[in-house]
Amino acid sequence: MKISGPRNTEEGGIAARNREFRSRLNFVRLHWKIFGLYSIILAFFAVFFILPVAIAVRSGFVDQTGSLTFAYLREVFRNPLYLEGFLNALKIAIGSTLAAFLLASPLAWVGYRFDFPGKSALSALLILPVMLPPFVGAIGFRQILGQEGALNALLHSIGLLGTDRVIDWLGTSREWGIVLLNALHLYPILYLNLVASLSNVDTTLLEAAEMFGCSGLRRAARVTLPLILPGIFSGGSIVFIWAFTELGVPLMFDYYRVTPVQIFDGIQDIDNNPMTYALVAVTLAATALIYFVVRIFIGSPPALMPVRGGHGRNITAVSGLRGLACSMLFLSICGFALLPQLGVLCVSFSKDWYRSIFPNAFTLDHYIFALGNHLTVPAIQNSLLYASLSTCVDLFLGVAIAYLVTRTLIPGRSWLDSLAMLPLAVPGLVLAFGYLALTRRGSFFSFLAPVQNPLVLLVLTYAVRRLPYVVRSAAAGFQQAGISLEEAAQSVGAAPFRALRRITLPLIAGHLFSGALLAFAFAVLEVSDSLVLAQKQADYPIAKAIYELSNVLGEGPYLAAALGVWAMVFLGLATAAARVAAGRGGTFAVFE
Amino acid sequence: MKSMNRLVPILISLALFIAAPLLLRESQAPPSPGADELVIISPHNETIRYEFSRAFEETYRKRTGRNVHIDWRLPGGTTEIVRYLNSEFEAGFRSYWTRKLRLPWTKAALEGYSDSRLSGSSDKSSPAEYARYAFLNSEIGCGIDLFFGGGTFDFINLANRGFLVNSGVLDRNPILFSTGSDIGIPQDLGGEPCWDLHGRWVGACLAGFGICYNSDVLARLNISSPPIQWADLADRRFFRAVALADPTKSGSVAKAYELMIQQQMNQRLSEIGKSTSSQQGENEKQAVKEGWERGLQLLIQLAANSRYFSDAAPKVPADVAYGEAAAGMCIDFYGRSESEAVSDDFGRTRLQYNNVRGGTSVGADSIALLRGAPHPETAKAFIDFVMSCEGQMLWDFRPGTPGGPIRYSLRRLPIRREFYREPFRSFMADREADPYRDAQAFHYNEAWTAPLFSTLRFLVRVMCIDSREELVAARAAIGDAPVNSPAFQKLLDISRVRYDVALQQIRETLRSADRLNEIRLANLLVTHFRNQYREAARLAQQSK
Repeated sequence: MKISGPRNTEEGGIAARNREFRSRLNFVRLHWKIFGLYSIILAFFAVFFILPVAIAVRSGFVDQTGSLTFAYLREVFRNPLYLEGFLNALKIAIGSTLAAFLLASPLAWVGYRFDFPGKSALSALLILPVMLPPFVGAIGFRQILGQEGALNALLHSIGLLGTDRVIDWLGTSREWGIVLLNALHLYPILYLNLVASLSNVDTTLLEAAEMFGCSGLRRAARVTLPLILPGIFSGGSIVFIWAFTELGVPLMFDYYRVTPVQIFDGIQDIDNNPMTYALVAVTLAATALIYFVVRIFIGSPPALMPVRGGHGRNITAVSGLRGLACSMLFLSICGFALLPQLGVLCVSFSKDWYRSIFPNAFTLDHYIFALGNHLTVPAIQNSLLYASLSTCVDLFLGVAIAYLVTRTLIPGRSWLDSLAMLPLAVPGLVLAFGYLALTRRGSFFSFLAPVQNPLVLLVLTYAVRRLPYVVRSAAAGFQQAGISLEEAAQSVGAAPFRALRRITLPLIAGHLFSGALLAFAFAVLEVSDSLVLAQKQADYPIAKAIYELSNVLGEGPYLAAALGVWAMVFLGLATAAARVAAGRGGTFAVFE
Repeated sequence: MKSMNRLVPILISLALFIAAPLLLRESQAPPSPGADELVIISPHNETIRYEFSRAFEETYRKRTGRNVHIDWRLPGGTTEIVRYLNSEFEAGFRSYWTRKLRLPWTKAALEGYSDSRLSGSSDKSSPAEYARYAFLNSEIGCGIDLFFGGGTFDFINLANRGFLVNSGVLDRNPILFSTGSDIGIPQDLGGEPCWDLHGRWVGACLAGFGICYNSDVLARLNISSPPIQWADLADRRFFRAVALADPTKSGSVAKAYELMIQQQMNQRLSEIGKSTSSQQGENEKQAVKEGWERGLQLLIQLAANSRYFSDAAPKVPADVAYGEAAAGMCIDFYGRSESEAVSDDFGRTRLQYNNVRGGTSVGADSIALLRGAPHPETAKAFIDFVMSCEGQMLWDFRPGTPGGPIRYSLRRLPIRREFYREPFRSFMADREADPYRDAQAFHYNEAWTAPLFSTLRFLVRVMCIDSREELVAARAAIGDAPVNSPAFQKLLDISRVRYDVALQQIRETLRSADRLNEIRLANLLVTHFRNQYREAARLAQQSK
């Protein structure tokens, strides 16, 4: 069995022999540490992911006598609606990933190459689309694209549409609408990964290529693209799986013939259809398979990664028309992607908004009520606690998994990599009910039951479901950072984990920050797990408080919009503060 | 330094944002130490919880001299609550069976303990019967006292399984629950039970389904008369503009669809009855059969005009209010609240809500004591409070009126009959509402459709929801063709699910213990109806 250790190439002399001896010692230590780490990770996945999911989907694999059956599974493949739903989900996922790539790549390249007016603020705006709970975003979207919404009102006012006619934007070309909205919602994930990858590219390689006559698009295709492939794979795989299992956007378009909606529909069914759980299992298996196949084709890093470090990028300052063009590119895509957020912002201040481009009347009442509600302050405190702890868990596990996958030859590492992506494909309700079953009375984990205190379960469920972001970011970082600097550190006596901590982790801090940022933001905004696991008011996170207020008769959407805007701005400011605190050119340079 | 200059304004903004909810926070007294505890699981929203917590705590203090703290447990909607209770009771019974009774945990015990078809026996030779006996004679609980809120469908199921126990509310309030009394709550209102004869659950307030519509959108669609009956929504001009509720997610919605069918049966009976009055029994059979067919055809037409089937109760009136749909099927209090929410300063509103007279029933939203309740006396006091005049005033009195809610208008209809008379009526937010009057307009005949309650839900799924894409496409192709055209007739062909077929073959399949039979039948029927709608679309294209 071969597990990578330090690759010591020193030769000759007592000193060299001493180093070799020390290195072997390190190898044995590392060997056991790696296996220890591997075991901890597998045990974590077995207990807090596979077991609860297995419990939750069990009814899809037992018949009326309690015996194991695959009959429901067979029926899934015989059901034309499920097959159609699966194909639709696949088409939407492919379309959304390509569209997100088309949006993110020019932005990432321009952001990487040029310094233009307003770049910092525009870069911060880019990540706002992911910082709003989807059901709140739907309120804003309806106000803008609804039949009596702002866009039709605009068309009426400029005479492009007769006043007795409306365009049903949400009801026509629904597949394209879903792809577009997914792309606008998810492109920041790809953008963050692309910028992090571009920042890690050794510019001397690009210069060398240019010296040998390889420039422009050819250089981009032959040199830059292979170098940033880990980043593309990292962001692309998350976007793909997210879009493949996305529920909120198809529901917004009332598009039901797609797998995630069919699963959600089945879970809500009062007859408790066992086929639904077989379908969950099929979706999980399909996700793992797709990810595995794609990984084989594009996921592997180039054989020899350049050493990152010491060769900073050359940023060209642009002003005038070129600067304006760069700013406009960012602004136009940002503005388009932020339409739902702008809609929510307007709703939060409006008394009524109907058949007009802007709200008919404004008020601050919704903010006063929502922020003053007795649910709000404890919910903010809870969310910060749950999300911070889960992000710490994600960082530890994410770095460990990425290290095992990219730095060792430990058996089963490819499967571990696929396993780490599966939480993206598990519906929140399935995992939440699995946790409830896992911790019910009489079971070994009953001490974790959420009724007394849901802290541990909520942190675990947030950590499990958001882990893929950190794993992918960390893996992309490891692949790009290369191993040479770690080896150099070890050759002068640093223990492998010390070399990792002191050399590689600082180098990939940008990647880790982008993954942790997404993990934290999505943990704060998580609804479905919180709905089931946070049962007492005192334990509500902010997303459940928003959901609760959205159910207030009549005023609900306005209150949800007000609290949603608060959460969005809070997350945006917290991110900006972290970014600025780290300093320009520092570890978070990818965001500059 | 440059970084600091950029950081300071961000940190100040962040501090202001964090400070805003702290400054605006309303003062709330923490639970007093030593207060009595009450644990309630509920799908009710924050407004109802707030008003009932406040009023009960005050009443309890006055009556007992002690404080009470309500611990609300909110794992989601009614579906999630039922699933949670199932899981908790199963875990509780398993622990009791294996640890206290020291018996092996078997499938028979698992299925038997909550099987309502078993009466239970102390004879240990039948594990299922003994499990049922052991459960019904135990105090196994889930740490929760009350289940408050949700339709009777779920309460009846939970009571039959043995999860709910007699709270004694019927004995403590004999006049209130005396059947036939003019002041009491009837046991049955328009075919819907209002309380359990064994006192395991009682209705706390009433709700019905009706039609909400947007008058602006109707004008745009050139519809001059607003929809007041379900059949009005079958009009071609409502194409893709009707928001419907999903009966597969809620027993109350399924009941509304059942009553839609019953309305057609009643109408058919009155038509036949007028022509021939001698053969009453035969007439009824014919009316039921033909009314079933008409009812299903009406459902197909509504689904063909539908924008969606939603399981989110507030979505339908909100979408109608904002013009996403012209009309929709919604619960009365959601319709009325949304209507008020979008009204202008003069009380004019674009969203109207109407009950469907003769086409819908009024259902009870219930409350029940759970088996093994840890605080049974406090729980009974809460049930008594909810059923008292003081509690009932909270449901629909306007905020600020004597005895009414202090902050929120709950817009739910009280179940006590006297609230629809003076002096109560003048304090109510919905003074024109009278569910008792509405219920009289409808005659529910249990024998006609009650055996087909689950079957109808299944049929709506296969004929309307799962096949909706093809159905809507076919309706678009048919356009303004008359109803007797071949394409339209093909669309409305329900020969595969006639009343006799539904009552026997389909119902029997759905009752089978093997769920595969149901799954295969669903697959078969979905394929049948999708092909039928495609054929209707083809015929429509051909005739153009």
